[in-house]
Amino acid sequence: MNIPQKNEALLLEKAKKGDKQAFNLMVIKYQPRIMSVLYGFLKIHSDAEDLTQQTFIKAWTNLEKFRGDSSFYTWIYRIAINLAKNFVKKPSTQIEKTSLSIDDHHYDLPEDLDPLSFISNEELKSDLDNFISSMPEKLKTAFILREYEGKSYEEIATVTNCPVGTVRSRIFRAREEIVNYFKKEVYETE
Amino acid sequence: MKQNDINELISAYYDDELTQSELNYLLEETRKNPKLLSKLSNYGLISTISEKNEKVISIFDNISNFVQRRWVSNGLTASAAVLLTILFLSDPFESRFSESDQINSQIRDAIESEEAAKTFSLIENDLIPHVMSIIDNNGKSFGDDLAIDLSPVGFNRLDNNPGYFVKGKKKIQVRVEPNTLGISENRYWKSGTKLIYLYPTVDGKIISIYGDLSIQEVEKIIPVLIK
Repeated sequence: MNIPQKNEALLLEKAKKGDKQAFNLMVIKYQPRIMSVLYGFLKIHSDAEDLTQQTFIKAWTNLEKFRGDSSFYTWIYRIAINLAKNFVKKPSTQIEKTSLSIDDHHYDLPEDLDPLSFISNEELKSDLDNFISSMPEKLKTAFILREYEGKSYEEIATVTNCPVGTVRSRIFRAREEIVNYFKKEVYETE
Repeated sequence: MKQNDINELISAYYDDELTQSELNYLLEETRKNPKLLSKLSNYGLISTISEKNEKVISIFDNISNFVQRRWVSNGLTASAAVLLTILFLSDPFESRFSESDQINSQIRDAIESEEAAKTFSLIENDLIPHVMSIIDNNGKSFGDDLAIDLSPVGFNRLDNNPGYFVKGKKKIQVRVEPNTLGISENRYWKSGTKLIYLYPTVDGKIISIYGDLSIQEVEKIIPVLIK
């Protein structure tokens, strides 16, 4: 997957000047991926959740050290992996949670879809594939070209012969359909 | 702006497709209503689930093929060999070993994948840093290397370069230090004419040899070192 960087660069500039909301916008999009990596490492929901928080807090407190040599995601990924390795070596790392906390800087899990219950569910990948297959052709094409092929909106617009605004709308609608599907089908059957 | 329009902005932000003014607008909206961020996390979650597929596997297949072409290992699992290669090829080593932008791109994807995290947990924590430090030796002296005498096998010490020995045009690096790696069997990696050989001694040390050597040559050097 190509890591987006254009919008990120603008947010990074603001975050480095102390704009926490800009930083939130940067990290929350990666929250499920970081959590998935940590869960793959630790296999315990609460530990994965705690270390995800620690990852973001550590990233915030060390943001000035991020020079942009790698993508922002790669940087926070490395923080997460290092935290996980230290955590496995010495469980007392948990104590650091308190000292790392920042008064008004806390990352709540989303209230609607809980990433952990999804990440640890191996069957969801095939559920997702099946649902995508059943989506209207235009939504499906736009979503797949973006999500799986990493095409830009402009490239998708060229391929599908429609305006960029339409592509943007189709991808959004596809995502909304998927989120709603998971909310209805997965949560209600649990 | 309607709620759906803001959600569409979040979707476009997720794809890095916002204009600067849209991004500023979205930032202000999320400042007013932080719950909007859960939408962003949901979109990230969809990506995370969809990534659990063949793409990562195919990346690793490609890298595995790359490993087989470049490095031959006697002691590591396939996954550890893959990771070793990933680490060798990633910063700051990529300029030395990289072959193409494509493979670099694949490696970066692999490093960022969940599979890489799993692989990390499969291997000895200190082994790869040790091997890297040998390859990246900056002339530091290590433990017992000043006492090493390889003259019985024709190698002379390089006085101004601790740990290095020469025999004609051949230059090798030898280190002897406490075995903190937990290795109980000899390990080696080969790439072309280069060989890295780790030999754990019975008295708790690890001998590391690196240079243009064959296994047969190393097998002559080791007895001299442990004598």
